[in-house]
Amino acid sequence: MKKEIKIAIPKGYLFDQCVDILKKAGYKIEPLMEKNRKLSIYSGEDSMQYIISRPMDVPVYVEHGACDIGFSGKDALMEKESNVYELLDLKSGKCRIILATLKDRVEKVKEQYRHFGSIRVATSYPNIAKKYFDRKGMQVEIIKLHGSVELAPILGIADEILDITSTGKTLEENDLMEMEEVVVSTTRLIANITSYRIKYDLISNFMNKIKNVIK
Amino acid sequence: MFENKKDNQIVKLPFGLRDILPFEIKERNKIKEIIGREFKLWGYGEVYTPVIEYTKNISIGAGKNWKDKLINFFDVDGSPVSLRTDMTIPVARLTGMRIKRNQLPVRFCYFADSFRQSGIQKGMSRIYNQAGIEFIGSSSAIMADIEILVILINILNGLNLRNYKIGLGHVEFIEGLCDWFKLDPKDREHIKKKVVMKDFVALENFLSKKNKNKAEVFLKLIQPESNIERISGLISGIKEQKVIKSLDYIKEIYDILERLDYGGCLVTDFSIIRDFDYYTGLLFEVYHSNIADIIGSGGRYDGLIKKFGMDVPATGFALDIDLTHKAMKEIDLKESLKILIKGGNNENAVDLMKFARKLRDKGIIVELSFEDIHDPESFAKEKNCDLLVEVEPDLNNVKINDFKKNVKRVKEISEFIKEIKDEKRN
Repeated sequence: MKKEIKIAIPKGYLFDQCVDILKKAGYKIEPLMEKNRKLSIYSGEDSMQYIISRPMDVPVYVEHGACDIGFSGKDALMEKESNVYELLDLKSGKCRIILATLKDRVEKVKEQYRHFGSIRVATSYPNIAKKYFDRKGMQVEIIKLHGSVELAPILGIADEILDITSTGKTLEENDLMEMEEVVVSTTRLIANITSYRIKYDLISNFMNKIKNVIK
Repeated sequence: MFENKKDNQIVKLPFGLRDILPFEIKERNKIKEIIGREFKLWGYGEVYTPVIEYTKNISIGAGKNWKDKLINFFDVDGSPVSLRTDMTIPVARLTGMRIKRNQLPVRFCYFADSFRQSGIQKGMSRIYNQAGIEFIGSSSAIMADIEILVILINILNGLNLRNYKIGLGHVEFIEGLCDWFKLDPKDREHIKKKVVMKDFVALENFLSKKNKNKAEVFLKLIQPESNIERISGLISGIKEQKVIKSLDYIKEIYDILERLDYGGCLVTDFSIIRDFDYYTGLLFEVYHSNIADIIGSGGRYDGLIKKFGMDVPATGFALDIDLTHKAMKEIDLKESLKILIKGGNNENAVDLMKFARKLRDKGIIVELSFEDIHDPESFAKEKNCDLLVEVEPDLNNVKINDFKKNVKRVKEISEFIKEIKDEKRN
């Protein structure tokens, strides 16, 4: 068996934080910093194969064994409900999933819910949204969008949005107001269920190095 | 021939189900043959039960989320019925209904499809083809558990699967750790749920609030460990009976399997909790480096058969045939020689059938062609034939094209029958 680990790294806003943690833990990150569009990068020195993927796909790659481990936001884990081991909280990449609506429509949305007993929610997290409203016993219509969810209330296709926010800036710029916090998400180290057993030595070694640099 | 989509109509199947074609079935049958041989050598008798059972019977042993996993229908009288989700419950029902106490212990094996519901977006299979055994009513729990583990290992070795590991766990271990934390029933549920979800972050957060030092030990104890003595060291401060007894049990299994030279593939892992509620003792799972999923699993289920009227202990496992198949690099099928005979027409049909019969009597596979084939040589190769034999209309001579030796020759038909033999098998 090859003594290497395949690790999925999320693109986008989590990427730099993950690379930073890898660097602090003593891994060579130069291969990851090359300015090209390669999505699969091998680091010979550390025997690591990096797979750069969309954050929402990290749990999927790990669940299906394309990668042994990965860094994934808790939001993606909750949305995908993947059958993977959640080993470590990196305590970085903090963001919140919140429920928001247009500032000047707060009362109207409440009134509408009282009147019709249902509201429309736009989100890129339909699964989290469904579970959240089920728990509250609220009937909602969920509209799945693949980004720029903030547009939905402005264009009038939804009353509320369930979306991710870290600074609140995008909400502010689109005249949206937070109504409720659904969940707080941080980055997690996850592992495939077979790799976790078969390559436990390599994975626990990696995990311990990461553990030492997070606080 | 199967790639040519433009010749075929597109018909949809319900998601998570599929057809299986001859080349896969051939290999699958070989796998089943190797497994079945091992079952037979230990005295296991094959059973088969109906695919459909009453929902109330199926749900007796299944876990909390069983409702999501069942594929349900209504019977003509309105009773809810379901496709079986595994074979352990039907075999337990069968035992309760049909087996007398003086017949115990009984050893059953099966090859069967089971069905579990899956989310449409997950794209997972809803059908599971399994081979498994149930060893019911043995008064020596440990020897029964060892017997099924040895059978499992023999099968995995017999299939030439390298790079596999068997994770051993025990239901009582985590129960005991909950005792150690003095958790109330609600917290216990929470812990077990998080272990099932494999969410160690949530576990650590929850337990650290109760006791930080104990939480650290808890998490260390539920990690995979190939050296069982290290776990003994970790639990030296824990006096809970369930923890001590379950670890002792696993240790004894380890010890005996090691003395039988079966120890190399074992890992202890107390985070193993199966998605069926009926397990009561030993639990195990089989992992293979090529496969992202668990290829087999099993354990002890002492309380299950009681629910069908007979209070007897039992143990067993099931191996997923599809996943096992995918884990295997190559399968030696030891197939017979195969010949395509071409040149049949209405006049010589009877003689040609007699000619083919003589070949089949020698164990040779014969496909007869009365069709007008444009390119017989590539057609025969496509069908995995070793020889193409073209006969003259009067059946005096045959034109033989041997693909493997790459020779073509003409022979008298009687001579050909005399000299041809199933070389591949002999």
